[in-house]
Amino acid sequence: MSQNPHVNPAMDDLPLIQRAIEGDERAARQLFEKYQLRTFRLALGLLGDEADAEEVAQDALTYALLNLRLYRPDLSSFSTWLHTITVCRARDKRRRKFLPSISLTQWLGLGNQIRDHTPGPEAVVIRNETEDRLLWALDQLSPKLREAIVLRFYTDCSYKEMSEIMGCSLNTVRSRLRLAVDRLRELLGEEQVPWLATETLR
Amino acid sequence: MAGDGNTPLKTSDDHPDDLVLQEYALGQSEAEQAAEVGQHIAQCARCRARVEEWRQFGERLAADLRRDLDRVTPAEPLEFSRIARQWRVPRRRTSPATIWRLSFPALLLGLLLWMAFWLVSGRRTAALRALDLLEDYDGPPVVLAAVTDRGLVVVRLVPGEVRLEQRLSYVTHPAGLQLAPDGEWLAFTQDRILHILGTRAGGAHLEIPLAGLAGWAWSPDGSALAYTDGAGQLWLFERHTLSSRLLVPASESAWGKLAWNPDGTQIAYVTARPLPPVAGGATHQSLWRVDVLSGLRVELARRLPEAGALLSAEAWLASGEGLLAWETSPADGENLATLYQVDVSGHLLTALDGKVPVQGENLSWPLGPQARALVWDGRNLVIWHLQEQKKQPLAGQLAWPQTVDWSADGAWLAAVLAGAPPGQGVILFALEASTLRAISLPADATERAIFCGGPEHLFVIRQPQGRETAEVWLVSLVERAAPRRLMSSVALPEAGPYNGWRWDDVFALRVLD
Ligand SMILES: [Zn+2]
Repeated sequence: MSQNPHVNPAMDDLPLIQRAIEGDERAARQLFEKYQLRTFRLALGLLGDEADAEEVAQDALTYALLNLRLYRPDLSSFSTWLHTITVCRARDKRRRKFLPSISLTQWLGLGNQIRDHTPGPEAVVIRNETEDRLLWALDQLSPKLREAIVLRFYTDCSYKEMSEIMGCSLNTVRSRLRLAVDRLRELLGEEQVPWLATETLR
Repeated sequence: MAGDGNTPLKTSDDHPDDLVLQEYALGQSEAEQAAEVGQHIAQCARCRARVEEWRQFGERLAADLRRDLDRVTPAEPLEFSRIARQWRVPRRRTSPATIWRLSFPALLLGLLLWMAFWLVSGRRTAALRALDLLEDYDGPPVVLAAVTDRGLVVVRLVPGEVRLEQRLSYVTHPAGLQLAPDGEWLAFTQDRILHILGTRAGGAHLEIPLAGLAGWAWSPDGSALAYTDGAGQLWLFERHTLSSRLLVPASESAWGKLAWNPDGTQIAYVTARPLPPVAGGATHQSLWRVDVLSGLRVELARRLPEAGALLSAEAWLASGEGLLAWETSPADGENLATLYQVDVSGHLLTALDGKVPVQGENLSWPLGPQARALVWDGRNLVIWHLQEQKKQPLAGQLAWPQTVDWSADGAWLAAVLAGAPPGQGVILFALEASTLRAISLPADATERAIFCGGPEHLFVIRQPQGRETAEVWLVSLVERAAPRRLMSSVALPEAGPYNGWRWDDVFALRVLD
């Protein structure tokens, strides 16, 4: 949790980008270091599979860094641009996998894949329940709805940024997010959501 | 905990819509609406409860997503070195000899794969089967290149014969596929490498590293490929020598797209200082032409620098005395271009009335033969006959064309209309008679893009319901033959920023005479 992907250091990137465009490899490396984890995690949120997420993140970063000249700072922040590329690559990845009807959780036994860290003892009981439900529920969403959830609630994008990233209108973002949230709540079933229980316990 | 509003303070008609409440709870309402909702929930317990519910749900969802995702790190660290290797490509190259190399490994690999196909599984190979290629092809002779789930394939179709010529499995995300006019060569980029590929099985394959944003165009006779390399240089790759020679040096800052004149003696290009896009600033842009044989350069017209505006050369008029260029600017939201007619001798840029949508580095509605252009004049779709300087309104009320292609003689144009029901997306417009003709296709797929295939055929790219790949269909315009599916498993391109598609990133087609 040391690196917070939710801070948007929009303007600080410009000098780095400029230097990288001019051929400064160190500047490019700095951008890479800065964005690799958050790109990987965004991809993981979108795809639910670590190996796929690694591939997509590597691809997206490679593309972005090799095409920095295409980035338009006057139109969006660098992270929004990078998110856009990551989302496109994740879509690509999904297209190529041809797994339209089988949930990734079932297919890959994701239940074990996403958590290789042992949580603190006090949280163990609650955690297993919650996580399984949340990841399972995410897997039930269509890719577009899943994108909406991850972009809004994980990367903390505004609706406007989401419309740029997802390549759709603001109204489409609104309705997708609404559908997604409704569907998630339906899937999780409010009374069964352990986090609400936790909240009341505290 | 969810209050269902059994005892509202106000009548239920007065409650804001759930969508509005949700947006408010997530902090995404516009200021004005936020104020309204704020006032409302101050007095309405039902809506207050709902907002609170949304807010809590959102916060917990965000917290849980972060908890689940933020503690995962890649099993194998991501590698900067994979990128750095390409970073070390020298930006300014001096000798043409260093800029191209025959890619023997790729060639060998391709050859081996190809041989393996024919040896292992006979003529009907797995790859062919996966593409569902039509066996008894009866359309015009064409070469097509397409990105599929098995990589880039090049297929040659002549009546009675369908041949898979090339398959490059590692080419999964190319850009700007351009077939030479004779279909013998294909150019595209992937990861900052310009690939020039002979389209016959076992043909040559050259790779040219680029320094950045590049543009390329085959000469009218297909014997040469002109390209800018992202470092300000303009090169000419010639097929008979399989090598490039420098036409415009880096000091000139040539960049972006190129346009050949009809007889292939001149290339129009744009220079920009600094090379765009640099931090959105204003660049000094000029339109130039270079004589291919002598290398003589002449400035044609100049643009005043305007922040974010980008100029591209598009096509020459048949006379060679003028050309067409276009410009995007932030004022048009970057997705609509202003067309300019350029008077070569008068050094004048004249803006035409009307705009054309842009997708990536290309016009979404390409210019037609004889300098015809489909434009949006703010109210109507209009066809500009630039040679004759006259405008022709498009008959009837037409939905927004998503992709457009022209017949080779410019007599008609074919369009796929955005939002049309499956099977009903294709229309033809005959210019002389000013008539529209709708083309009906089976209703199981949505039309996405269109390519004219000689005077009697259309190639239509269609996306079957619920699928994330596309199919290529052949439609005969004269016979009563039913439309036929030619091929499947074609990748859909990435959507551009305005929900358009960049078809030239996944598909190219050339009709052979
Ligand atoms: Zn209310």
